[in-house]
Amino acid sequence: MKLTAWLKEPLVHFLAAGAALFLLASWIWPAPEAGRVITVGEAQLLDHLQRRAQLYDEEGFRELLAGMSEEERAQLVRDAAVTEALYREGQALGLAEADPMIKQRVVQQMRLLLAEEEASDVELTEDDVRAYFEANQARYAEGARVSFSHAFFSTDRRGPGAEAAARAALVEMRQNASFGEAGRYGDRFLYQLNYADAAAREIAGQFGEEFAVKLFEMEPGEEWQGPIRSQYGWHVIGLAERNAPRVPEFDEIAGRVVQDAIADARALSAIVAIDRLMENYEVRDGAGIID
Amino acid sequence: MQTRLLFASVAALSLAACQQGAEAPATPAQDMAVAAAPAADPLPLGDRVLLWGDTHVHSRNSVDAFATGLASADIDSAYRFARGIPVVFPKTGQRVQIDRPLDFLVMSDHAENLGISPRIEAGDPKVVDTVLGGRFARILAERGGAAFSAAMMGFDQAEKDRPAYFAELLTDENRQISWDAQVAAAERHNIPGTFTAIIGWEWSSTPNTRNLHRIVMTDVGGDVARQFLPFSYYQSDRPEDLWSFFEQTKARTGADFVAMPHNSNLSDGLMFALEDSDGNPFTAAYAERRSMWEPVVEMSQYKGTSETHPVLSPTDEFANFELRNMLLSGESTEASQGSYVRGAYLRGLAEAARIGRNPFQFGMIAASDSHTGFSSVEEDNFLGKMAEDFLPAERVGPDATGAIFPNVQMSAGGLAGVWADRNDRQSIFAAFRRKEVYGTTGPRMRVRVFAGYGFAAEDAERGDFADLGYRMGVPMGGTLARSDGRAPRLMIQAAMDPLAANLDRVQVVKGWLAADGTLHEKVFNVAWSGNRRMRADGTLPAVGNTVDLSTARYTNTIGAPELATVWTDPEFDASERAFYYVRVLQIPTPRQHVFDALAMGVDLATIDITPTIQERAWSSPVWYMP
Repeated sequence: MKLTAWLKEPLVHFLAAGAALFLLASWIWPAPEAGRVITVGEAQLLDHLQRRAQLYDEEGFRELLAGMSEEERAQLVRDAAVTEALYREGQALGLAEADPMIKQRVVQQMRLLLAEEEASDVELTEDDVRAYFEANQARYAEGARVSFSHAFFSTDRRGPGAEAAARAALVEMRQNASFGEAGRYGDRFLYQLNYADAAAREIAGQFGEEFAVKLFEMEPGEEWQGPIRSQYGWHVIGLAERNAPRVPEFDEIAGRVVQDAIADARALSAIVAIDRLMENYEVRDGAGIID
Repeated sequence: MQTRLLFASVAALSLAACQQGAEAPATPAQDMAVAAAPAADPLPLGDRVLLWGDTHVHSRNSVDAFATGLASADIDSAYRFARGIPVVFPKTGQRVQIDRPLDFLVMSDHAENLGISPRIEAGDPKVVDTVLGGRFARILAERGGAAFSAAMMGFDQAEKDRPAYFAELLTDENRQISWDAQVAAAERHNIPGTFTAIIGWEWSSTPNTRNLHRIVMTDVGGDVARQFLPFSYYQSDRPEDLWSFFEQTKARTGADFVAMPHNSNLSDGLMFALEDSDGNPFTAAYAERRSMWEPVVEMSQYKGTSETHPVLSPTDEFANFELRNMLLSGESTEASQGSYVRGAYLRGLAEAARIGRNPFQFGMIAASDSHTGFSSVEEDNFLGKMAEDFLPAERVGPDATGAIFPNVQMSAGGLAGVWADRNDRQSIFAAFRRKEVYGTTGPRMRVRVFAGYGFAAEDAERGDFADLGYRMGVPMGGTLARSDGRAPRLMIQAAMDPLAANLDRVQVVKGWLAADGTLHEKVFNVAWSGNRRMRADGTLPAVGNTVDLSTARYTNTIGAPELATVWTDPEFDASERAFYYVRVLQIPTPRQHVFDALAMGVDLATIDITPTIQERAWSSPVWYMP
């Protein structure tokens, strides 16, 4: 499996753009000119415009520049020069070193560059992906889930009559009501009328444990069922769907597993890359060499 | 009609019978005539009531609100203000009063160093006798409130070092004392039926200045709330750990919780990123947990509106509204779906298709995030986010005080509308759980939405609108039943705030996941004032503008006081996942900074902020799942 899909990743674009900018910047502001002379030419003006707009559209800005009056251009040259001068002064003072945000940004960029470089060599075979799937079954396990509508008969409002009212409604609903018409019967419920792909825990949280157990024992079908009791009263149930807990087959979710396996391999290779980088360093703490 | 009356009287009788004692016969079960008509109510069911509240207010017990020492209100003043009682603004000594009382309030002081600042000021030995407490007390005495607050927030410590740094000061005993005071204040002001003080706090996780803050609230009273301590980011800055705290605390004490993310616009895409805190893609289990504990998001507040961004929604002509796309440090960031609620709703549909469960199926509200202690949402009387730059001269003109979030830029708005059974803790909490809640930028616009398949065009005007809505559909926050081929209809009523401006229009925002896996969004104009004609592309001519910027006044000579409609989705595909929410726009009115600029004689052209805005309300969505 080649990682050509990576070329579509926004992160890759971001890194490529970052690298290009870095090269561009070192060409536009060449290192020797670091003293009291600031040359502002076409390239510098373009760079200045794009940075200020946070928009990289060289052609558009080139046109903009060409159409500028002398006065506007002079102002722009001064702005660009001021920016560069302040940058040099700040660099000279070591402001970038002192600012934890900048340091963090540089560290983050370097980490991404390293990871990217390392990951470009990563290739996964179908066997690799299948092995990943086997090793990470828990990640793909699906809990039991239900989709249903219900008509509610409140014991608060109806007292002991709630159950009989629910039973009578069941008879009528079987003849006259689709699952979408549940709200026409019974009382307004505290939570939802329709539930889609609801997990047992959510149901237990809103109806009580006893109700959840009974609901998950029902067989889905076209007919109204019940009624079953919750902590609030009685419910006539239209159970459209019930999925037992399971781990899907590999083929059902292959696309998702591939993505996850690649992400995992990428994370792993980043660690390897950093380990390799650290081999070039000798780390000392106050007590002596620790590595 | 006669049948209806008959049922009502039978119902009244059966109620009377039930109230006479346990031996009274259970009339409905035994009376065959009634049992055969189970759809009738045994007693008239009152409609849900619209309650107004603010879930996000800080008193001087919050470490950042204390910044100027004595400028922000204490917690009792904050409650009294919300209840409509006149109070004194500590910053100026003037009397301030809300225009109308709120129905409920969450005092959401930051859990981090909760209540410690005023205890240091008061010389509480349990605090000032610690090494750190003593150091902070000296900073307050020698260098003043601003330096004190900076020190108290631990800004000189790396983020990851702060828990250990504060540990010596924040003993369980000290945390309990501060928490008990918060709880006691809530108990003092909680008057079920009139004013509900919901107990809560703010969890202030901000990894690398990316805002992941959540407002937490609980359904329980003080007796239970005292059995736990508010979880802070010093315990953990990972949302998953906050949810674990909820799970464990619920099991131990019975307290239920809701966490409401806010200011996703300040999160650089992190709030609704598609990975968990370890960088792993979502699983169904993650999505279940997240939607369990985070059923509602605070979408709009002083620090900006996080509905969407023009870059993300180029065809939404009203997307450019009170945006602040930056980090909590003020540094601007790129606009990404992960920073905006509409983006999250869209992503949620794709995630639901991928893993079987939507992690972002949440409702939305607005709240203030006031740090003065006062929930203040009126453009013409904005008391400010922080007390530092309260005075007009501090906000605009040559002597304006600089800040990352200066009052001149803040949005004077953020209020939650809640459709609840009653005004008490349990009922309001249940409304948040079922997402029958919405947000406005301050004006109390009454907005109601029901989605179903069987509404007729004239139903929106009916007297029993709500009863019909609940019978034939689901309210905002609900999920539509599967379609039998018919397209969903939204039955919508919107009424102006009687003390504010008329309405311009009602819109439906739809998002959907197409069969090819692509995500789409579209804004439909569905009801509007006057005799404007919709253009072929679905847009409307603007409503007009009556604002006089030389006096900061407008007139209600344009717009409509009420708009109602039944709208049918003209592009419905029963096989596609979708969401719908309603947006209601007011006619243009002057923005809050205009009042200060006029008072100060400052030229509005020198302030780079639009001087008129269209205030608005957003409903929670209704979802469709095939």
